[in-house]
Amino acid sequence: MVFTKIIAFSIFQALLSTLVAVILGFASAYYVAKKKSLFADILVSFSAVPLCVPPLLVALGYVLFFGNNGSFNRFLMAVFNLQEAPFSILYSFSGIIIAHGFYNFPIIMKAVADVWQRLPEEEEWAASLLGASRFRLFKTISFAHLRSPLASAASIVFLYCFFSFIIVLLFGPIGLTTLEVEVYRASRLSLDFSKAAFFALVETLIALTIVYFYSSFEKSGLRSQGTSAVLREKTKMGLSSRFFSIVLFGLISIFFLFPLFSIPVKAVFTKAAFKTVFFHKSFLPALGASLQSASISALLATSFAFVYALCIRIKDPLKKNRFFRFFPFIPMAISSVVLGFIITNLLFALRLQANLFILSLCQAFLFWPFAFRQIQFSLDAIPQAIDEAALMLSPSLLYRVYKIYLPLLKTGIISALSFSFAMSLGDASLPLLLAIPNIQTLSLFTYRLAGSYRFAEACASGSIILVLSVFIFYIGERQKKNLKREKKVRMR
Amino acid sequence: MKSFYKIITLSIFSLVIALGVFTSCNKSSKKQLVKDERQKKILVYAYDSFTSDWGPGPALKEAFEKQSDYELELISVGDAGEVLSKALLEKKSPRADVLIGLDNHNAQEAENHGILAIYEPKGSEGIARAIRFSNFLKSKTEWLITPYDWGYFALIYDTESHLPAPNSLEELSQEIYKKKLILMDPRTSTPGLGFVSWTYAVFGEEGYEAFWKALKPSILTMAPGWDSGYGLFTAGEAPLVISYSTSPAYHLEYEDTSRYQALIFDEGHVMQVEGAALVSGAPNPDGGRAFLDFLISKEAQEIIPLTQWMYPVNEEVVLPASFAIAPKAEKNLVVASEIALEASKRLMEILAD
Repeated sequence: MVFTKIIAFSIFQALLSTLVAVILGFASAYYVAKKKSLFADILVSFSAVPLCVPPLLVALGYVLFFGNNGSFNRFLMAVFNLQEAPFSILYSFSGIIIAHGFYNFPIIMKAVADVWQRLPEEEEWAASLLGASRFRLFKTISFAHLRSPLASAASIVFLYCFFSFIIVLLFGPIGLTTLEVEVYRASRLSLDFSKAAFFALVETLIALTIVYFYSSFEKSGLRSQGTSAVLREKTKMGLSSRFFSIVLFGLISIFFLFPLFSIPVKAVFTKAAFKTVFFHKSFLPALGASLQSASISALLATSFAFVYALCIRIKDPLKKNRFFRFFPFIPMAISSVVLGFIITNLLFALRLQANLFILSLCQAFLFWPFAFRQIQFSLDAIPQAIDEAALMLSPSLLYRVYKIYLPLLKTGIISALSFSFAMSLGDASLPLLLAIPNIQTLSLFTYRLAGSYRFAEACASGSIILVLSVFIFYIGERQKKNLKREKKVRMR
Repeated sequence: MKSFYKIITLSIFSLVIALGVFTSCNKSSKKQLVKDERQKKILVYAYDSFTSDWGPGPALKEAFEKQSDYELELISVGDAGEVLSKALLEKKSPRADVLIGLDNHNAQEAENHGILAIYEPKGSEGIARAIRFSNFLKSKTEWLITPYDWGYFALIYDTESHLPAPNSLEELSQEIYKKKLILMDPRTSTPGLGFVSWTYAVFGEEGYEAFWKALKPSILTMAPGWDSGYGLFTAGEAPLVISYSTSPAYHLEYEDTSRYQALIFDEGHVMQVEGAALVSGAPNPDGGRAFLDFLISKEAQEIIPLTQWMYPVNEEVVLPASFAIAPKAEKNLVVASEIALEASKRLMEILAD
């Protein structure tokens, strides 16, 4: 494949996938933020799924549901008495787009819904009184506020799809290649490091350009003029809204939840898969190591994100400096193959033997952009007037941080902790790269099961990661609701 | 503004101190280890599935340490490609004594880069000539790499499918096999590269491209790795997959089923021979040699079949009963690794068009 074609394909598939994720994510965010919907509330708990379930299991999930021998095709074959699988979209370009788009939409949904829930209603009331139509209200007020989180989350999804490896090769047309495949081939197979470095450089530059574009959106995003303490009441769904929600959530169930649930179902219906995992001598130590490293990296990532977000708030309140917003996303522009190369060389140069703390440190470095994003959006919701009042009335910076920012950013901090914890929990590449003697995490345990013929057991182990991540998000959301309730009571 | 710089300075300062303390602790302990303990320790770089709970690594370590005074440290460095890649990066100042993860497809690269030292291990005379690495290297050097297991690339067939089993590679391009074959990408997977070598050996320089053009409609997907490809196969996506002739032994041993069968074709099969080698300039060459001696001993080789799902190189080893389902090919085919890599590169360009 010609080099320009490789680049064009890598960008094209990532753009289309992001577009699907944006449409689904934005529409779901509307229901999560504005409507009373149990389904939407449940969906929020799945926000970290794209970040914590290993791509190999995601691909297997789609295959188990939509594949030639998948549940969906077997159901159609039984109902219509067919000999061949009638539904075959998986092994095609549309298969890549569907898997990427549906798998990643919760990232966008969560980012947009978090801001949408906190948008000040006063601006809309004023515009409404002045005769603005509903579309105009949405365009000039809601969307103007939502543009920044939308662009930010879309950049993340784009990068995820751009670096995607397993889904693209598994579902894509035969012979297809991406930049990531070429980097892998040059660095691991033909050992042509200069070629690998060239491909990696091109790949990283493209990713950085995308991130830079995001920062321009960020710059033009509006700062909230309202107050984060007043949270919008969710309204009941009307007839048309109910109809669209059925269509939307039906699609999400078919193309996201059912393939995802196929992973634990496969494990449940395979004799003793869960039992084998639970009673394996490495399971409990792996679970312990995962919880340890995820807790440390979540704390580190969130603390660093908090300090950085606060610094740029103080240093650049009007968001004039684009680099400040661009900087946190740099780790995301580095692919896993390139990262492996950097870490291996760094540890070698420092003569360091990897351990659980180094693993947590590396994960915190990689995942802090996610934590930063969550905290930044909460910070943006604080009116500038509060900053100014705090500056005048507080005796010291520490007092301001402790008494003003920490309480106001609680919900953002909870989201940041949940995201970085879930990401660390699901990360198999760093534990694999660092190869800590005698220590494996649950995700590495899962990866190793799949590499030794034990696919059902890998599904069982992957399901445990999935449940842990959903549980963490559920706890986080409940905590946030409690905080909202407290605020309301205080306001009354 | 002052407060901003205070926070920045404080954060950087704390981070540097934390890193500094951490690094110095590790560095000093490392230095101590290098000085006093290094000669008692053997450091082996291996691929991940070798060192995992289900691989031979843990049992080999236990058995080796029981019979020697050395401490064996098996370091997983990712996949087999990364073993060679890492050794190459450390060429000027090697840390590992032995590399595991070399095979007949990357052996030439390892020799070209001069990172290995020749060593003929004790008991090597018992290793069959057909699986010695002299067959795969241009220089014909016999003991640059020591083989420790081997197997044939073969198509695994699901006997519960309604499809007849093919009898040759040629038959795979028939209409009835449309979208029925799962392969692996030769750019990212050893079985993928092995299949390209196999077709090259059977159809030759003139015929293999035409064969692949005819085969393309039969391929359901080219998975990025063996795990994803074989996972699709066991999920029932297609009745044929490229793997090893020994794969059915796993299903018989642990799932008590002979549903999956390896197909042996008259035209012959390409082998994968896996090998270990002493690193040139290794910090503990004596330890490395002792481990290579052990690796081909009967005791170590008995661990191989049920962990690697490959044949041991030591012919004294009695194979487990489940290996009765793993047939051996009557004809061995050999393709030089450089030719295989070049052929796969050209092939992917053809398939992409």
